[in-house]
Amino acid sequence: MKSAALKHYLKVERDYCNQMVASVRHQSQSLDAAEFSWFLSDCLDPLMTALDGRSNQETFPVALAGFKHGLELAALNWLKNDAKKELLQQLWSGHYREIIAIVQQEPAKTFTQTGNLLSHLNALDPGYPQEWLALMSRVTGVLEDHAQLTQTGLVCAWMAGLAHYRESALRQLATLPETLARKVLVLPDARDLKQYLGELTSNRWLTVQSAADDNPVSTHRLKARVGSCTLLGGDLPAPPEVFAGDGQFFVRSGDLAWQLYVDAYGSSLLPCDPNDLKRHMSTNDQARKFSGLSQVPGLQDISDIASTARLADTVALTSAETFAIIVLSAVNTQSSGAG
Amino acid sequence: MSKFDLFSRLSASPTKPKSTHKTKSFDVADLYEGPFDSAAADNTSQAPGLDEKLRQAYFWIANNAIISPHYDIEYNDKPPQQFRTGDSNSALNLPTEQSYSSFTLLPLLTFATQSKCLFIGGPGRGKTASALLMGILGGYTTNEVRRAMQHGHPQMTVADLLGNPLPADLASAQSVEDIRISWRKWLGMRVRIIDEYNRIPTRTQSALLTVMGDNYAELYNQIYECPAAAWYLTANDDEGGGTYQVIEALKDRIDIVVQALSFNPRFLSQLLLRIEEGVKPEDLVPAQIIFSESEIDDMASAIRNVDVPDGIRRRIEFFSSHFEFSEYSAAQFEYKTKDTSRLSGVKSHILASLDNGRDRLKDLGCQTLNGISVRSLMSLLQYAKALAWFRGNDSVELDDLRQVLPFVFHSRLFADVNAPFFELPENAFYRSDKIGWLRHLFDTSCMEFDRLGLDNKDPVAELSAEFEVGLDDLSAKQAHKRLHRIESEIARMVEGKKMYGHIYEDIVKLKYLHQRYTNYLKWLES
Repeated sequence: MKSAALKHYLKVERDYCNQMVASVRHQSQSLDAAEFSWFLSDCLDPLMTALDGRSNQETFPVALAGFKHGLELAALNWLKNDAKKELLQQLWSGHYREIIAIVQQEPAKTFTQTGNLLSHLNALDPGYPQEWLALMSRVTGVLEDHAQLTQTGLVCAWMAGLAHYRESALRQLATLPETLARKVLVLPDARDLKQYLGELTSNRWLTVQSAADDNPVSTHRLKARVGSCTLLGGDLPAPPEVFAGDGQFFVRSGDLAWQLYVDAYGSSLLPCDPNDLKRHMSTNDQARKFSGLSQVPGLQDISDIASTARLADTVALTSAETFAIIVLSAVNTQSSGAG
Repeated sequence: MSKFDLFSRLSASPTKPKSTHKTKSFDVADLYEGPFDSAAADNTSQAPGLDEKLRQAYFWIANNAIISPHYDIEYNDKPPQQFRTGDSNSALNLPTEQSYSSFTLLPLLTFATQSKCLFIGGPGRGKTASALLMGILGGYTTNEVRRAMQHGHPQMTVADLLGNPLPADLASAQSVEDIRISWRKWLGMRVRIIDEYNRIPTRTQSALLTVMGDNYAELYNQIYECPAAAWYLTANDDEGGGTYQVIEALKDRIDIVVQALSFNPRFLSQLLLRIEEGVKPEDLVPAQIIFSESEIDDMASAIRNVDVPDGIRRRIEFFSSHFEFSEYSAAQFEYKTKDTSRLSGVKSHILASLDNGRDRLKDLGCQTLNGISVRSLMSLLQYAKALAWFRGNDSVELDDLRQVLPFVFHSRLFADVNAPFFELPENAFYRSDKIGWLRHLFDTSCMEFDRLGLDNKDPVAELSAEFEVGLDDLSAKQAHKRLHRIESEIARMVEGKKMYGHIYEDIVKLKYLHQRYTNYLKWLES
């Protein structure tokens, strides 16, 4: 253990810490002492080295919150998985160290909220947490307080792939300090932020990179294939159908229903009440009205369309030949590497 | 040093999600909620409903406090996987819906309805510990509950149970009314525990009966009005094996009986952990599942508001109508009940030998020595409502009734083990398995109800409903017509048929209606 601050905390609060471990062991027999020790030495210790030399008043709350959070991680089996351990190491010895001033403001909140956010991201795609950390690394130097951390965290979660947070993220972007918002979006100083946010709001396929590209394309472009069969670990028990209503895509598969969120940054399928879907079922272009199928690159494997639904800038298709929902951009978008 | 309560907290996710895919409205804050402790974060979410809180209490107790992995209250939303086990070919079901352990659930429902629960079972099976937890849920500290617990013993006096007169008053009082009483603290608590109640002497049992039945205590002409409370009594033996025979009236005051099942040795590691770490579950009860007095009142009120649909009520009526009738107990129709023969001391087997021609195997009434008391029917309705409410429903379902019924009638409906039903080899184990027998009894009653098609055609219910509308403006001609219909219905029921309990009770009801119309006609014509 390198951190003098952590060493001192454990010495002073030895009884209390032992009691916490015993109590958690009683509640969760999956707690492994070796795994928890790994957390202390490889996660909490590197963070606490950033606080060495500070007073107990400053270091003890962080050590206590970290100790408790580590127990939770161990009890909830987060320390049994190598990929998660790697992620935690990056988070504790990298991200938290860079925002140590904010961690000190609200240590418990910061650890638990970030942990929960990463848990959500990881549940949707194991690659999303790394993406989120990479996006957050752009702004760690300019974050001022815990409120900004949570706002920015939400925006980065959207940009990492949680498409259903699009509207909330855009609202947060509008309230963030301009420097911070520009850093998150990597928006050049030459571009007007307000104007760009307006464009981003009206065009779900826009990104900074795509806006800089001036190769206009007017045809439909394949943007995403969302969902897979339950037999392959997906959510869809039967070939899906798509519907549109209230500016939103809906998906039905068997007796189940979902809302489909999709944009340049990612896609999400969120379960919804099948009764909500019934209102929109008449809006389905069941008659296979989409005629430009053969002209869309990347759809060579699809010869027949089962259902079609349209929003102003997007077309969603399903086919009996695949369980995935095929999402096409349908506006005069720019060709881009994003999305 | 305060106890570390990291895992004493409760899951934020609903304990009884509805089967529909209705999702809660999308909330940005959800991004920061999750598996890790949210206690540190702003807790702006609404407090859970009381039913959710009670379910959280159930799951906390089931998962952390009481090691009772016996899911005997089974619910299924599709046919369960079933296995046949052993030489007896007994069924083992794997329920497809959320199912419960009666030993944990029923005491909680007792707490919610402020009723009276008896734990039975051998020593060291968690009866007292379970009662103790209920006290803690009621907002008392472990020490308060332990000190207030009354331990039955052969020398227990009324004063031990209720309180003592103040010595100074005894010496100086000019009249009995002047003697002040130092009432025992447990009388004023919302959770009352009597350990080993069958060891209490008979005289003290009578004092207990007054408190349990009428909710007041009396000593030296002084009255102490007790608040409504949940009662928990324990006994190692429910069949008179205690030091004193429990008086029948006291037994009848008990709303439900819960049997503590054996310890499953596969859970020994949990006991070991408790020893090694010196942890007692009662010391770790999360604050979120402790109920205030007003919450207890609100909960009881919400349970009372749960609806009992007519179809379900009819099945209860039909079930309870089987048992009181005893054809050879009396000559007069109204006295043909088991209670008549019981009061006169005539043995049931003597009456059974007089039965000729009635199918004693088919007649459910032949399986019991007694009928069903009014109190037990009220308990049944109360617990069925409580279970429905606990499961997040607004009205009672047949399964709710089926699940609580055996526990309510456990010590109130006594099997006649000499009945032909118990002679059959496949029914032999029902002699000792009261819960199984009572559930079988109810299932058979429901099958008979369906066979008779009473859901679709029930003339007595129609006549009763007609009467319930009221007699205002009913003409003499209409009244005569109804009288004629009642007489025809009675004639149809008795013509060439053997008399069974449910027919007997229907005829009694028809006679009542007949009398009411007769009186009305007399009044009209006077």
